Amino acid sequence: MTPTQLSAIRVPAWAWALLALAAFAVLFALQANDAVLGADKAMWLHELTHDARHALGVPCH
Amino acid sequence: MQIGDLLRRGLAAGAAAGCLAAVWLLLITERFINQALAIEDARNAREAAAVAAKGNHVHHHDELVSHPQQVLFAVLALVVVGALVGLVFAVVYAAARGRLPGYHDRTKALALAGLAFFGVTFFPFVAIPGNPPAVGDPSTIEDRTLIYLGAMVLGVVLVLAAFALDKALQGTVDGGVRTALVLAFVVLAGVGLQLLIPNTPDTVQSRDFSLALNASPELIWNFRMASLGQFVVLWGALGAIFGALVGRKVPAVEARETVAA
Repeated sequence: MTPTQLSAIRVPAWAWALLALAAFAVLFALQANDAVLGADKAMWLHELTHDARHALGVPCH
Repeated sequence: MQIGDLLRRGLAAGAAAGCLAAVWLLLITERFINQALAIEDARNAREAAAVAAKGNHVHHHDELVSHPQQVLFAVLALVVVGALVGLVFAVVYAAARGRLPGYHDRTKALALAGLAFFGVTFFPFVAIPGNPPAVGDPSTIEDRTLIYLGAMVLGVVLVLAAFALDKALQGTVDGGVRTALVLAFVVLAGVGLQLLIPNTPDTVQSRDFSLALNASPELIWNFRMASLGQFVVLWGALGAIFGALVGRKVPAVEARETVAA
């Protein structure tokens, strides 16, 4: 018996949008804190995510 | 099997993989981050002493966030980032499932995890490897971030190009030879792209400090290997757990679909 190839699963447009949103959320959390927040809160989140950012190899000081 | 089934499994597998990466962070990566933070503290103390020696008032600014808070939040961040990466993984898996190597979801998910590690982790890592604290020049963060994101995009393009080449060669060249040709293309194009990507604008350790106030090459190397290992855990666990979750669901569902047909 030859194994059958598993087929692709249809990706609706909203799922592609979700992909873009998730990718942006990662970027926001790790680097572009000021893309959404004001300067004070962005600085706070920047400091809070300091170790995670370094550990994930994202450029930092 | 529908997209919603995959998304839920991607979210769960990603969060679980993030937890495992967090364990790696606490046990290994944090050791080197702590060593680097000690160097930063020594540097700050020396700068403060230099200011005081000139008779100027030293401004002690309170830390916005303490280091234990940063560690705790890093664990949380890894779980959240893991879950988000899991969502992206699930969408890409749905679209790529027919083209990924293997005959089972377990194999295919691991293959996609390997491709993701290569495209968005290893390829940018070679272009601009991560550094522990006390190394990067704050004034070049924007340039370095652009290089990092650009390398990530190029890594993904390289993987997609490899699949396009594989498809183009189908019918002309058979199995093993085609794989060898595609791999040769990836190596040559990968090296070529790496040479095109600009180098980091930082000359590592450029500042005029004694070695005791700088991260040693050993510390930088150890940190980089720890960070890379953490990604191996993240992608490996994501691929394995996602594949197991999807693989467990598929046979029953497809059997039912066959019966219905």
